[in-house]
Amino acid sequence: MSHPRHELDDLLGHPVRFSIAALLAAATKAEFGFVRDHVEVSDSVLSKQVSALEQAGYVKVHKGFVGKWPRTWLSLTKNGRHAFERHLRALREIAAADEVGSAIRQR
Amino acid sequence: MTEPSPTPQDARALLDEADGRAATVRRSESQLRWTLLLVAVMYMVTAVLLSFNPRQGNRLIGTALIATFLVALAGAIYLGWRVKAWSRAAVLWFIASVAAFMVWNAAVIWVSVAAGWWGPNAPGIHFGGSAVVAVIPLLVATWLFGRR
Repeated sequence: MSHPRHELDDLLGHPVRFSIAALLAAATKAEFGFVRDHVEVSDSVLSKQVSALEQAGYVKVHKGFVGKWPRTWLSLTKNGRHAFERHLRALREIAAADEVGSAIRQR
Repeated sequence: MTEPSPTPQDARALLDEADGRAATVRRSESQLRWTLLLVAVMYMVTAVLLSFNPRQGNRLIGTALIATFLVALAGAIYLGWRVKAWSRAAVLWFIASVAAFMVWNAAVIWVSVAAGWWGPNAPGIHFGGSAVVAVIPLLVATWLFGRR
């Protein structure tokens, strides 16, 4: 059996990209400013990381208007959602492996 | 060269973070419940105004009704604007709540007319009584939305 770390997604290993994906995984769409404020990064950092995720086909950027105000919405693509779920599954296995190890050590 | 791997503690921290981010989105979309409450309040204010509306009509009450609709419309636009992240499930929940209210409201109106509760000689307050029953689904949906 291979180690669960092989299932981790390199792109989502970056802390900011992981936070962006975690936020978008729970939403159908999220506004750019909302993601920026909750991930606690600047506009430029978020743009850079979103571009990386967009190039990988993980995130889709939608531009539109609410009234006359421009709004940018972000969403995870189907590929992005699968990648994030796979990444979470690997993290759960890594975390669970430690729990099994502690249980064995306690015996 | 070995492939870097998060420690089990790091993995748990990341899983906790993912849960926290999901809760953030739920908090944002739960703003939709205030829109349901706004519709319920608008409906009740309308019912109170119509309950005291004399048979021949009244300009003051007519103006108050228009003002109520305009304030509710502005409030709904503002509340919608505040929702910065949403899931399809929350939007479907919201639509289902409004649909449940419309069906229930139609049933209340039908029963009120069929039972003679609303009639040519019935006091205006009967309208308010029916409205109190009609908004029940909106109030329940508002409460349930907050608990999601």
